Amino acid sequence: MHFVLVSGLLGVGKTTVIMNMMEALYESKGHRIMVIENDFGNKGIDGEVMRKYGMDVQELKGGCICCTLKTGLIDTVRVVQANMDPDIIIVEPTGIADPEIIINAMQDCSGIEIDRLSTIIVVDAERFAKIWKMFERPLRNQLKVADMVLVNKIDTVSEADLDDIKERIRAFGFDGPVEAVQADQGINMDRLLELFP
Amino acid sequence: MTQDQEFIPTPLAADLNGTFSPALVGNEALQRFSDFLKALTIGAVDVGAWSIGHVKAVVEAGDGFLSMSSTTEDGKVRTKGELPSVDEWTMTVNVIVFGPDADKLESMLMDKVDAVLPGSKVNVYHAEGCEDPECFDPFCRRPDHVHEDDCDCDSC
Repeated sequence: MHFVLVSGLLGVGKTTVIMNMMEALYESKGHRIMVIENDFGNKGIDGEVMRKYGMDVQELKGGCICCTLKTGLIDTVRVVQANMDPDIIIVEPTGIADPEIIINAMQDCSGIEIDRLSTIIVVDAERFAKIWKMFERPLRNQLKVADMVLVNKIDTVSEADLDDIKERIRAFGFDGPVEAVQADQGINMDRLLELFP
Repeated sequence: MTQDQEFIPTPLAADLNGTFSPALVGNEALQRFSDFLKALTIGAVDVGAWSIGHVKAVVEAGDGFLSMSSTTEDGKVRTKGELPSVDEWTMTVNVIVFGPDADKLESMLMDKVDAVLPGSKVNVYHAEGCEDPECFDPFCRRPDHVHEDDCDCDSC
């Protein structure tokens, strides 16, 4: 089973990326995919939207999966793997979660068979300059565990701004693939398929 | 426990429902709901939000479904889905911003409902709180929560 963590700060477009990615993966490779959503509070929206578009979604609510719901996430992955045996489990944490804690929990956990673990970090081109200033530490923590970085909402910035964003991401020390995408239109989303041989 | 208030946003969720009479057709309904989401986003800034996490909503009306999202202070709204003729509708809205407390956000939400979607019924979700005084999870909403271990993430 391929465990894929799609993380990123609030409002970067994680859900849109996942919806687009699932469609591409299903159409091109026929993978069976399950999504686990961790929404804020007791009333989530992302899971509802995904279900409307015909996707299999499990929701974890009432806490953060890198904090009090860490055990809940592990249990959910175990149950999903045992009952549905999907090829891919995609986890979308809240925008404040620390992905490293989730990755460590998955790697340390017995009883879950993970063949491959990938972390996709989504950043928002439109707000990158502001986020850089206000949330540098959380952003740095996200980038340090990334296998791929998606710069989303590229329709909102110039080529020069996009180059600057990529340069800043490199300056964080990330040397993996950085892909510029517009997830809501499916633009460049095929680049993600490289993570799924 | 390393609570870092700086990175803890305030969430507010609500269900709304209402009726347009006469029904709104074409882009009228999409525009009205989009105006509402924009008003919420700008309203959040007006009551002290220094950063928008996201302001999202889903609307269901007959066979139509619309999801909307706004993440910038100018209230620009992205939409997905379609709404044909709309008379009765339901909406779930989710606001997550940095700065104002939940009471301020709720008051602002009620004002915007009156202004843009007058006559709608609103049910705001008042999240139950975790009763563990040492809980490290800022979003724990489970009164039966049992401590497991400390979290060393940046937000907690």
